[in-house]
Amino acid sequence: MTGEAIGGGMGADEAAAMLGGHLAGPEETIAGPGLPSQSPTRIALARFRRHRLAVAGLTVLVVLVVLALLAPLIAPFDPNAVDLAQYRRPPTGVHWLGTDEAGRDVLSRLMFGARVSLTVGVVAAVSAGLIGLVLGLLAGFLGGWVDALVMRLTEVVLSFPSLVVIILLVAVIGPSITSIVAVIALFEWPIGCRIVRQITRVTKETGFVLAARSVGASNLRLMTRHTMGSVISPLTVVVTLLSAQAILLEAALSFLGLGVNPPQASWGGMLRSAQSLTVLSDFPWLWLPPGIAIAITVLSINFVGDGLRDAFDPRQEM
Amino acid sequence: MLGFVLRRLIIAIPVLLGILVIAFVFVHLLPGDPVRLLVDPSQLSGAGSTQYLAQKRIELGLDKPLPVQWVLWMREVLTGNLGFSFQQRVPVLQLIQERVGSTVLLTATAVVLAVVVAIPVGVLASLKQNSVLDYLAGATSMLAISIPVFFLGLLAIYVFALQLNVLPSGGRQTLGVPPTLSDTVQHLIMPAAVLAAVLTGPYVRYVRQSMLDVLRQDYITTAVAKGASPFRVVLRHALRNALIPLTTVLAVQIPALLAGTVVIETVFAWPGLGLLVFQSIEGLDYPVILSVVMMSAVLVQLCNLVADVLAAVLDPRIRL
Amino acid sequence: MDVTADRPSLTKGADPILSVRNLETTFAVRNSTIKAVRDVSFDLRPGEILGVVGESGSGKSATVNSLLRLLPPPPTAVTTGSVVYGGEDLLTVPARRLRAIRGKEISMIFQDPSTSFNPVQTIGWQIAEAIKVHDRRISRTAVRARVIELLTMVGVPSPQVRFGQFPHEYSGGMRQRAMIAMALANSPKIIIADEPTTALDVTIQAQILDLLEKVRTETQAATILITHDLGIIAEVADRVLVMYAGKIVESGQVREVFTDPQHPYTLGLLASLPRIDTAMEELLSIPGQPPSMSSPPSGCAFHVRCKLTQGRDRCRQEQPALTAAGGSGSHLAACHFSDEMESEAISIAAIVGTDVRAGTRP
Ligand SMILES: Nc1ncnc2c1ncn2[C@@H]1O[C@H](COP(=O)(O)OP(=O)(O)OP(=O)(O)O)[C@@H](O)[C@H]1O
Ligand code: SF4
Ligand SMILES: [Mg+2]
Repeated sequence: MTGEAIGGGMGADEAAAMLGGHLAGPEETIAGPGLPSQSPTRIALARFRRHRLAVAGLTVLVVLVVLALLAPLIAPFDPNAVDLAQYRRPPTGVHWLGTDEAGRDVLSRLMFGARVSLTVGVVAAVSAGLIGLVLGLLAGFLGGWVDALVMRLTEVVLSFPSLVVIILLVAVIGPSITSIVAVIALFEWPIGCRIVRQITRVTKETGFVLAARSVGASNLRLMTRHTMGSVISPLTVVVTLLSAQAILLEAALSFLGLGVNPPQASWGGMLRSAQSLTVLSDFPWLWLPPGIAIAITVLSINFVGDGLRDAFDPRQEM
Repeated sequence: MLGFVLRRLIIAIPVLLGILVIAFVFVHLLPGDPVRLLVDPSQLSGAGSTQYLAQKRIELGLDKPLPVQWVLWMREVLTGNLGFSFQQRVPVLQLIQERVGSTVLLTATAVVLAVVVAIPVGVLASLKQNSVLDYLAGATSMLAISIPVFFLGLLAIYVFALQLNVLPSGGRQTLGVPPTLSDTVQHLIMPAAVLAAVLTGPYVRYVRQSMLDVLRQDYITTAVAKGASPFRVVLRHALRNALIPLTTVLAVQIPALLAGTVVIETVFAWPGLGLLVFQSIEGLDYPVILSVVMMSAVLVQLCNLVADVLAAVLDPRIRL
Repeated sequence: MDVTADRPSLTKGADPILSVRNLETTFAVRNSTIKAVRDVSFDLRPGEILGVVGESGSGKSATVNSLLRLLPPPPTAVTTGSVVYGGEDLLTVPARRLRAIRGKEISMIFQDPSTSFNPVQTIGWQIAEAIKVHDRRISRTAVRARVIELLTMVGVPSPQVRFGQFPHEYSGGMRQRAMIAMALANSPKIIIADEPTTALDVTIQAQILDLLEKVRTETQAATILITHDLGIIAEVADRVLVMYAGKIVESGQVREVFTDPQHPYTLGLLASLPRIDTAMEELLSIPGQPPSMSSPPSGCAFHVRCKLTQGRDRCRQEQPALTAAGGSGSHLAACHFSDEMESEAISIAAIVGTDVRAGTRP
């Protein structure tokens, strides 16, 4: 429940339960006879588009990414420019979201903070997904002691009281974007790993792969070719949901003072100032915008994740 | 069953020892020197400061090689007082005893609240799939899952403590006044409700999904075909089966839940374990950090055991 | 397959106990509707065993589940028509009244006994529940005694012990016996058994069938027996409905239908049935796939797979009505060219080496 309950998001079990349908999926994608000529991707895309909230979420995310990418060009002020004359000014026509305790422009800091949140979210989740993919493929395909080892490893990682350990690790390595990403990836890979392993095991049994093996394809090519196809969609869902968690986790760490180093702006770090009751009561423009920004971002990602899950779900009627 | 429990407890011992070694190494890798944080800065300059620091180091046992320190600390663990806090100069056990009640009070209240709300909402949402209620429950859960708990906490303080002035903004009791029940309850409401709100989101989704799975089962049709009322079908047949996985999830999540209180205790200045851990990490208070990590590890093992036993009690198909 | 032996015709002339008219059931799925039951009408007479056969997906379960409104509520499943029992239409009676009928006057036996019992309650509890929901005031000891009596009756050994056991502690055959005991709990007038033996292995199947026959003799309950297996129908049923693509394509006394089938589909089923009473050289499976139920073929739904049609337009354009065929008033079939069945049977006999119609060996 690092991210899972405190930050929100869903736990391993829920994610696994939600993805249950995919575990039976490979037969369908591999051997599914009688399906109309439409490609699975096309069908999934059509289903995704029907999911209105997911489409809305995706739109919001695209806007956020563009704003974050263009921040250096379009931000009205230098996010770190101190101007003590402009100390904690309420929103005005010049400073749309006011200024903070060092006279820095809140809107500009918000836009630059988006870069941190989105980077951490994407990089941490993708890294966790990759670790899970590699270990899951190894465990599923090789079986035997490799499988046993990997499974024990997931159990150990999942049984850590992660937030305490994550705080400890970040403190040991020293707070920075890199260390946060590394630590989150280190703790969030097991969910993806379990799912990949399960699918790989099923795929391994299907005739498709057996046939390829008899023709003489090497183990490695087998793994990549045939399994990828069925693994990729559930893993995408997992990575999407993990990125939401990673963003929440980064925000929590920054809020506790274990985030990026000042003066660099991050949403969680901006909220840190609201730990003072004075700021909380008298300067809401300092903490409301970053909080809302986190919530909207995470909500959008979760909607997209939900939409992807429904889109890939083979249980639904074609 | 007893044999199973004993076997599991024995297996847990090497796992715990392993975790303790790793934690010990990590804690000592924390950057900084605890001694320097402890002593009066004026002592750090001038003649004799090196000597003074060395003496302090001996006092705290930090001069010995790491393996020796580990063995010494393990002795402390086995005697039960868990060593002395560097910062507060009292046995760690005493510190933990002071705090654990607050954390348990907060999390237990929140979990009970969340479960009490989530079960009926999740059940109704599953029974009226795709109804307005279902969509509303789904959207609210999604929001609860997506909002950072500390931001929700700050919003609550802003509204209820600062604007409406109906609840205290933090702490566990009003300072300088003898503690009363109503005072504690007033302090408890906001953090517990915020934590509960965040927990309710996933719980509702879980209950709903679990109910939907169960309602599809053949034995539900059997019950209907017997002439059982919808009420009876839902309560005696569906819910009982749907809650088995939820119980397991709840039990397994307890340690993570306790660990996660760091954030909420910081926001509400709630004097619990989370706050203690966080302060200890900042102050490099090795014995406290180690003790809490150790307790967490024990708790994880215990809760997994409890989850397995509960599952076996609730589901006759599972044999231990 | 001995259908020519005389059966006690205990039902002749009696008023039907259940009258189904123009039953239609559709399922709404994502962006289409499945017409699972199409214009089904039949009567069930007191004390008879009415067999229902048809391929998987032909709508057998959907039909019987519609009778007691056991399908998911609208808009998922919509049922129209009428199901008259004791002067009431079960499709429109208030829910409370329907609950009083379910399990008390009409009870169900389901296909898979391993999934049809609640895994977390004891078998005894579940059978007792069937009694208690209809008789709130009955004492605990009376219920227990009745459950033990039922378990004894269906041949569950040591019922005192079995009472307190969970479904997973029973074997498959035992579970189905317990399921039958549960169906009998309130001495129902009608028992609906949906493929009660499909999930069991062959030796157990025979035992369960014997039990069902014994139950019929002892309780005089009318039974609807669904099965894939014509052999089972031949063995135990009095009358039979043959379903194809949601419709009844042939119905009549078992003897009539088996000795003189009036629909090519029925003949096809007979030709695909392994038998010991005729020297068939090979089995002839019906070519092609069951039709799509979301868009059934036009005209006669069987025309895509029918040999008799010989490409005649009428089969593709006009739906054949279920009308008297084969001479006796009780024998109905829905085929435009029933009168050509004799030659069809002969042409099949040429392929499989013998006439597949029961009791018409040369
Ligand atoms: N709950 C449901 N939702 C959607 N479609 C359904 C549902 N139940 C049945 N169907 C569809 O209705 C049609 C008839 O199904 P039904 O279960 O009645 O067949 P059946 O004759 O009993 O087959 P089987 O021998 O396999 O039991 C099938 O096409 C099936 O896919
Ligand atoms: S109506 Fe035509 S297609 Fe249908 S069964 Fe008769 S001959 Fe065959
Ligand atoms: Mg069926």
